[in-house]
Amino acid sequence: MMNDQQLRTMLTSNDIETPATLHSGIMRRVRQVQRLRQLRELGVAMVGSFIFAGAIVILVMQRGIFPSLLGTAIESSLIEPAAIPDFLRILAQELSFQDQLLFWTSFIAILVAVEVIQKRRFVYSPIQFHRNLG
Amino acid sequence: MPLPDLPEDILTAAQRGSESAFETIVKTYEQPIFRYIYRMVNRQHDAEDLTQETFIKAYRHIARFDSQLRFSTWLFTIATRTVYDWLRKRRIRPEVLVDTVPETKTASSTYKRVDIKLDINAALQSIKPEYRSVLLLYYVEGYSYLDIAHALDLPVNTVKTYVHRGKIALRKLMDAP
Repeated sequence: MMNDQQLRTMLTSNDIETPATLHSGIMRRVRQVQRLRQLRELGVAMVGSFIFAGAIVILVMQRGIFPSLLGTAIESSLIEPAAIPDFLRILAQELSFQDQLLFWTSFIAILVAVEVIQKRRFVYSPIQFHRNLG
Repeated sequence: MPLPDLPEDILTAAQRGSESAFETIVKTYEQPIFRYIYRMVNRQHDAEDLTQETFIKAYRHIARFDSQLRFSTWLFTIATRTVYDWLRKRRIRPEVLVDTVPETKTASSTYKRVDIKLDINAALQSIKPEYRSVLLLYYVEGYSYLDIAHALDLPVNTVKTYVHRGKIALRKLMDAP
């Protein structure tokens, strides 16, 4: 009857050689996955930007109601953050349900796009690259 | 002894998408992971494919890795699940389920015991994959019962039971008269 030590010795006795192509094979597939991921994220960012741009075009060019709201939005968010509730109230009063839906959908879309772009810039910024190398 | 863990900055860089950091991870762990998978499946080409699959899964999900845990344990978790999935898809069943070999020494059971006298590799392939993985992690990789329990998402007592049963199963095959 073999004991634990014998069992351990037997299990580790056969020398298994790692194939020479293993490392390159793994890294090749990693690069493929990375490329696909970049393409997908770029696609998300582009779709988000297109949706937002489309929404702006519809609101500004076709309905002619957006410039004043846009001005209020800039004032609210950049100059006086305390005015944001007022802006939201004006938005709710001035825009129909459909327009509000369009506005918020496009707003979320651009947030997603910005988030994706920020992430990519962060990952691939030269500083980060050198840090990773270091 | 279990495999040493990587410096935290390498892991963090890999989690942020650095290819060079991930390549360091691959260099560090490719051999032990390949050897483990090879012992699990006993086929060179499949072991190579499954090792690649393991690292690709790790690459895809590394952002979710909790750095409080041991990285090598996490990799062995992925490797084990990848092998289990492969075994399930291929419907590979052990040729001899040693659990079912009767204890009584009737003429037929003695005959069966003689017939299944195997070397260690063949014997490993003949026991349940659950026992095989636990035995390899415990005896070859040197992980504790607790580490294996975390890696395979099993209660510690189940791990102990698997080690015990796996050992008995192997001994039955190896000590056949």
